[in-house]
Amino acid sequence: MTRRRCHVLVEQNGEVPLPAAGEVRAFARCRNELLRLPAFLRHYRALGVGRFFIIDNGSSDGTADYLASQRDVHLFQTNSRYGEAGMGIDWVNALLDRFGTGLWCVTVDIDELLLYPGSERAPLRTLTTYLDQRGFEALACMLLDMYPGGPLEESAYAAGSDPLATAPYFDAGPYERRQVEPCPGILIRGGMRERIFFPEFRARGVGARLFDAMLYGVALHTPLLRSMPSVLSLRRPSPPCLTKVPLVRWNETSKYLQSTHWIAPQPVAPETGVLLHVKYLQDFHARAVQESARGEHWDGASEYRRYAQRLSEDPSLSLMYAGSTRFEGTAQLVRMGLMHESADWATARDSGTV
Amino acid sequence: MTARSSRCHVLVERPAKEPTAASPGEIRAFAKCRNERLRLPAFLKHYRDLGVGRFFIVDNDSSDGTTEYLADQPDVRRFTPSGTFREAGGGTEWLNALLAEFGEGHWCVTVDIDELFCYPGSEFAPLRTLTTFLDRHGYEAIGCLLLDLYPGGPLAACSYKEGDDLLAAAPYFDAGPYDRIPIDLCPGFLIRGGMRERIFYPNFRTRGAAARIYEGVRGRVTRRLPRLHNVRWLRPTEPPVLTKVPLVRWDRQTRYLSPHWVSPKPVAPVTGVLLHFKFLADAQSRVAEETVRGQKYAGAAEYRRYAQTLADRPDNGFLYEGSTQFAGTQQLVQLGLMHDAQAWSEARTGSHA
Repeated sequence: MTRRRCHVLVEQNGEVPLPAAGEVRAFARCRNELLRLPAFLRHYRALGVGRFFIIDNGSSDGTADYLASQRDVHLFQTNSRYGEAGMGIDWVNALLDRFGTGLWCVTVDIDELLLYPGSERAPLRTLTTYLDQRGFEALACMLLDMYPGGPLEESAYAAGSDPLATAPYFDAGPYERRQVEPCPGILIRGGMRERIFFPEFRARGVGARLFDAMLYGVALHTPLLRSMPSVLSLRRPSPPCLTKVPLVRWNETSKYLQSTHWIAPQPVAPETGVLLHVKYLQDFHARAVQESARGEHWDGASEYRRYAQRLSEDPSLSLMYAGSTRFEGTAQLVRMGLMHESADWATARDSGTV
Repeated sequence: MTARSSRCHVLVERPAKEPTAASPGEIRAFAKCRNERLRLPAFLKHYRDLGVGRFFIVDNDSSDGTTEYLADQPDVRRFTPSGTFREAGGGTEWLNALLAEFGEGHWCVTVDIDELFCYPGSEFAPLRTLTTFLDRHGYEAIGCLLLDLYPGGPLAACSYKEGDDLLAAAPYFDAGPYDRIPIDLCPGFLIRGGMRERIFYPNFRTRGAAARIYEGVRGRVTRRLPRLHNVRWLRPTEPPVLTKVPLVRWDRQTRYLSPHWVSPKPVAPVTGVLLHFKFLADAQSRVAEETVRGQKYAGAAEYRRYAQTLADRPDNGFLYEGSTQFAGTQQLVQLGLMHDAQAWSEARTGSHA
C-alpha cells in the first residue's frame, strides 16, 4: 500500500545539545495524554532515555503546558491534522531524521511501555550496546493489551501512579504469527482486542480463511485488481496488528512506513520485546467516542467506531475472562513465549560483559 | 478529507519565537532561500522599510552563513524542510503550508530573496497604505512584472557587497519589448520578454509560425500534466514567464499553483514590478551549482542554458543600446511596465498629505 508522503517544515527554537555518548532518545506524538504522561516519562527515564522529542497535536487538557515544563522534553506543536500525515508518522520521521540520526531511538505512543527480557535490571544502554556489538539495528516487539480486573469505567487510575497496578491483566493467548514481507517480517494478531471486539474474526471457518489467503496472497498483489474498490471491499474488518518496532538505530535510510508497525529494512535482532499497552483505563470509552467522531485514525477510525459501539452496548464491560493472566515481570513473558530471550543476551546482560 | 488538505505540514518547537502578539493588520513576508547571505540584508531592509512586520523563511540547506544570519533577526521565523525533496514541487508546497499556517487573514508578500517589490509611488506610500486601498476596493491580489536588473559592466566586475544598495550595483533593465498575453490563470496575463529573453533565448522572438503553434500546444498540455515537465524533448525552450503575484490577501482557500499563478482572486488594476537581482557577480557560480543539483523547474533546463550562455560570453555584460537606467516607480509607470490608477494615485497622495 502506498500513500503520498508529506513534506514537513520544522521551526526549531531551542538548542538541542549534542547527544552524550550512547544517548538514547525517545520520540512520540500525543493528544490529550495528561493522564498517562507522568508514568510514561518515569518509565522511559528509568530505562535511561536521555531526551524526549514529543509532538503535541492540538491537546486541550494541558498536555502542552505539562510537557513544556519538563527539562528533558523538546516539545513540537502542529495544527495540521493527524489523518493527513499518515497517522502523524511523517512528523515523527521528520524529527527522527533531524534529532535521531546515528542514535538509538525509541518511538512509541504515550500508552506504550517498552519491556525486553530482563529490562527490570538492564537499562536500555546495556541492550543497545549488546545490539551494536552483534550488528543489529532494530528490536521488534509485540503490543500487549493490558486491562483492569473489573469493569473499565470503574478503574480509577490516577495520573502518576503505576498503570500496571490498575491494569495488570493480559491475554496469555491465542496469538497468531504470520510471516510477512515488510520489516520486521512478522505479523502478530490476537489477544484481548481480538477476543472482545473482533470475535467473528477468530471464529471464522476454514472457508473464510482460505478466502482471505486468496484475497491477500493473490488478488491484492495483482496490479489491476488491487486498486478496484469492489476487490478492496472484500477485506473483512480485521483485528489490529500487534507488531511494533519501537527501538531502532536510526540512520539516513531509516523510515517508519505505517505507524510504527513497519520500518524500511534494517537488521532486526532475534530477541524481541513487549510494549505494554496501557490504553484500557476509565477514559477509554470517552476516547473511543471522541476518536470515532474525529475520524483521523486509520481507515476513518473504523476500529474506534467498533470499540465505541461495543462499549455503548455494555458500559460496565469488563475485559476479564477465564484466560486472563496477571503480569509479574519480563521472565514470565519470556516463559509464556510472548517475548524471545536468547542465551547470548541473557549471558551478556547478567555477566555484565556488554 | 479536509478543506486544508495539504502536502506539507509545519511543526513548531515550543516556546515559539513569537515575542510580541501580531498586530491585527500585520503584513507578513514569506520566502524560501538557499545560500542567500549576499542579498539577505538588502532584502530584509527593503521589506522592513515597506512595513513588513514579520518574515517566515524556509532555509533550505544553506551553508554560507544564511542560517546564522537569519537566526539573529528578531522579526524572522526560520523553518527547515525535512528530507530531500525536489525543490520544483517542494518550494511552492512549502510556501503554501507556511501561508496556510501563518498567513490567513493577513496581507502576505511572497517573494524570492532576489526580488524587491515596488508599486506606483512605493517610495512614499508604505505597503499599509496600499493594502488599505486594496481592501477598500475589494481587491485581494496584485499582479507584477518580474523585471531583470543588471550591472553596466561584465558580471565578474560587479562588486556588490552584502548590505549594499542593489540598485546601485545593478541599475539597468530592458525597457522592452515585453509580450503580455491574456491567460486563464490568475492574475490573468502572461508576460515574457526583457533581458533574459534577449540574452539567453535570442531566437525566440524571431521564431516562425510553426514553432509558435507547436509551443502553444505543448505549453497548454504540459501545464496540465506536471509529470511531463521532466521529459527531455518536451522541455521548454521558451524564455521564463515574468508574471508574479507577490501580494495576496490570504484566506483559507488561497493557494499558489506555481511561482507564477495563484488560485482565482479579484486582482487589482494597479500592478507592480518585482526588481529582480539575479545577475550579480555570483551568477555564474550559482547557475553552475543549480545545474549540477538539477532541482529547479524542468530539471534546471533554464539553468543549463544560462550556464552555457554565460560561459560563452565571459567578458560581456548585458548592456545594449536599449538598456535603461532605473530612476524610480514613476519612470516604470511612464514606460508602461506597471499600471497606476487614478484612485490609487489619489489615495496615496491623500494619505501622504
